Amino acid sequence: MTAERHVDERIDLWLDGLLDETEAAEVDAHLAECSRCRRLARGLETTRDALRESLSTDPAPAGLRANILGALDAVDAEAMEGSAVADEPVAQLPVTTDTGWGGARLALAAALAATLGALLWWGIRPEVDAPAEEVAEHVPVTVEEVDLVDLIHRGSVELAADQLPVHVAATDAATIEARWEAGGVTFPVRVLDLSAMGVEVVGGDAAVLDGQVAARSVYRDGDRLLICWMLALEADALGPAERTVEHGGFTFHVYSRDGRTLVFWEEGDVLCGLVGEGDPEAVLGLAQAKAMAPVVDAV
Amino acid sequence: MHQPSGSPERSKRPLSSMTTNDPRSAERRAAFEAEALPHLDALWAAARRMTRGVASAAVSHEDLVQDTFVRAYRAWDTFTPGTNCRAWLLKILHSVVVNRFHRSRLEPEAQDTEDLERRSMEHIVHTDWEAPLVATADEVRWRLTAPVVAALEDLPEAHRAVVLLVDVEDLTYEEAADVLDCPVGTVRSRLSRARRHLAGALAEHAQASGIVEGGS
Repeated sequence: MTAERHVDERIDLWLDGLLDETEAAEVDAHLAECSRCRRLARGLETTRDALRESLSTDPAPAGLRANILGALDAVDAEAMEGSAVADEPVAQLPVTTDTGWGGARLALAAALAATLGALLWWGIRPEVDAPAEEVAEHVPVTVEEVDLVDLIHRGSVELAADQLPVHVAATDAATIEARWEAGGVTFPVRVLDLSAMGVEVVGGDAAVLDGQVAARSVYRDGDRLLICWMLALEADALGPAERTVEHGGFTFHVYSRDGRTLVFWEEGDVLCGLVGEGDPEAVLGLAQAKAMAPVVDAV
Repeated sequence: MHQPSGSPERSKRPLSSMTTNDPRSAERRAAFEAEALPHLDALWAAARRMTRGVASAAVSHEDLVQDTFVRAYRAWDTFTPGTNCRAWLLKILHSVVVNRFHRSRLEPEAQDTEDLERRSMEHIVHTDWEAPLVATADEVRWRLTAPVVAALEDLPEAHRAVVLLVDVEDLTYEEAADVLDCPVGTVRSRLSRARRHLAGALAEHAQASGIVEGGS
């Protein structure tokens, strides 16, 4: 049976319920008789179901809603005061009445045009027509000075939820190291073995901090998570530590943020960091042990 | 020092005084909170998927989502009540991510796509999905979740985007086309290819791991 006599061309529309009654009935009748097309349909359906189940459905972090409401208050305040000053130079979003869902179409020209240039994300160059005077370089965040320790702290807090996202969760070194490689980690790092201390590896991924790629691994120590960071940086990039500790030939730089302890040390050209809650001395002790620990063999 | 989105400057005038003086603004604000804010969790999840979870901590997922809602609020008058608010918000989120994330242009890799698609189809149609070796269809799906995520990462960006918007975000082809600013026909063809690539990868994994049998 050739492809034309199969239903390959219509199976996606059938799957999405977009065929009219007559065509749907034709496809149904064909599927009843053709095991090949039946397998195609079932394979696509199973894949779609697996995809839907696999992706993270973590709720938004606590506090984000309140922060958004606060930001909306600021917008209302500007409007009430008749101020044209915005916290970001976003032009009015024009409305067109051409085709689109519901008859109204949102054109996001002004905030996109000038700054995009060669920028792209989904792989499709957006077509935007913005008046030149409304185009402004988007300034996303007022950053007077980047505090790397703060960034690492925030990047650790987002993982300290009840359940690691599926793209972070993993218990084998090979998976984690493959993610690092895929995420652009080019400096030599390995997943470290802390099992002798009763600490198990539970995840890892690559992250980006202010343009710097970091290898991130996650360990579970009882009820708490410990986040280990590795970057191709020197400790000088961190800013002054609250205290430093010399141990085993390493210098450990200790910081605290919101009840968490952050301990950093250099291993060759790699800056390592360990972030954890609870007793600061316990986190420091784990960092010191980690500096001396053997690597986990990637299977 | 970086001002995290966790502590935005708040208006010095309490909202109640504004609502007292401007009932229309209060109504607008109430409508936005009632219709748009319930999609917060969905936007959060979408922001993480859009960035493959690898956000710059200087532009966090919280920043992306908060920026999206602020832009949406400013443009609330352009939203048509009764239409898909979540799709409208996703389009704004898409532009926020493109604008603030500064990703390089990502084109689908030049591959021998015809050969890849043929091989994907071969795997799919030679897998007996209807008679899995494990007990239930639910177990089949559960054991395929990790490989499907891995297969998703292999997709070209453009194909990955479409399959996420249609199969995960449940947008129509037209809504996805609007978010991505491309023709509906492009959405259909990319979706078809993406689905077959994912299903082919899963079929290979399912057979290799004994979840299902290969068929003739």
